[in-house]
Amino acid sequence: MTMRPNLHRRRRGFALFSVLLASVVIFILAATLYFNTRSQTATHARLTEQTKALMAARAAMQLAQYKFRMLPTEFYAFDRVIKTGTPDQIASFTTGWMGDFDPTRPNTAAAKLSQSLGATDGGSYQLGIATFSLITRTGKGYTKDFLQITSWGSFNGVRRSLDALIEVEVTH
Amino acid sequence: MKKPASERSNRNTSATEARTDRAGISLVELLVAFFLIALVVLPIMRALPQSFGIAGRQADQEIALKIGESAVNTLLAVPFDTIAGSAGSRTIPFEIRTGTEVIAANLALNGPLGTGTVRIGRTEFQLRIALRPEYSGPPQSPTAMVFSYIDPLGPVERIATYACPDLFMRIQVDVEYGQKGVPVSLATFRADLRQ
Repeated sequence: MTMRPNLHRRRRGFALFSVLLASVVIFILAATLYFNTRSQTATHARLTEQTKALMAARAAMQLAQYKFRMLPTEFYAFDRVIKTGTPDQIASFTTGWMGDFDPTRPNTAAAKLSQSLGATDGGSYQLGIATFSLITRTGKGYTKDFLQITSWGSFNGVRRSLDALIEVEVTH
Repeated sequence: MKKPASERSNRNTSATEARTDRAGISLVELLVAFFLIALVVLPIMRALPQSFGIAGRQADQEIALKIGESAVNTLLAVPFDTIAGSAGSRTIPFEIRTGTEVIAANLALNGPLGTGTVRIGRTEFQLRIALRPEYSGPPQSPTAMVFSYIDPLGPVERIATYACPDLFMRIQVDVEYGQKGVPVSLATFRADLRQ
């Protein structure tokens, strides 16, 4: 006869405890969801910056291809000097060829494109070329030349690179 | 063996007391439970729509970026005449690949400007395109794109310059969506590589 009240007394706070626990769990889950969503905003802003940086890298790639198309003989001379020249020659030919792709030098092609890209959305763009080299593959009775170009672009400090291997076609 | 009536009566009284006691506690607990749940659920009800709103806008922004990128890639891939020609209207088909489907759309160019519309789910994305020639000759002009090089046949190694005669097209694609969404604006350059 005395067992039931004791048992009941021992269970008295159980329902309250369960509700409290459930409430805390629901609250923690909801808070996690809310703060996770808010923290994603920074990730999405970064995605936008990365895409803009990639667009700048694409512009740099166009610039490099255009320069090769306009001055192929000069590029082959530059490549020959890079492979066989003296350190002084390599330095001067590198300045001569790669200087256009340095956005930090005033009035270079890369600086002009960087300024133009930043003029509309107010962001800080930079673009340039990291590597510009010739790869020659020798087959049976012929050789194939490829341009290996690595361009880069940055938007507000976020940088993206683009690699391309372009076959050189001789047209008459 | 049958128990005496007084003992049976005692047991009934105790059971009734226990039931009454338990029922009273359940009511108090129920009220406290309602109060606690209300305390938790009300702020959540206020926060969740805001959270879902942010998540929805973020998803739309990501889609807008993909659409803009697809449009720019398409404009980089079509024949140069298509984007450089200033007269007449042109329609350029392009595709947007989402995780589950491929959505076909069109870019309608009229002179140096263009538009397009893409509907994904309940959101309509409006594209605005601006094509502008920049950096083409003549030499010495402020818009000339000048390249430097070392003349391999020259008497001395010195830097020479070359002014490009061709167009450098600036491609800009803006994507607008929803009322609260921040428009996406992407820009790049395309060189005239026809020669």
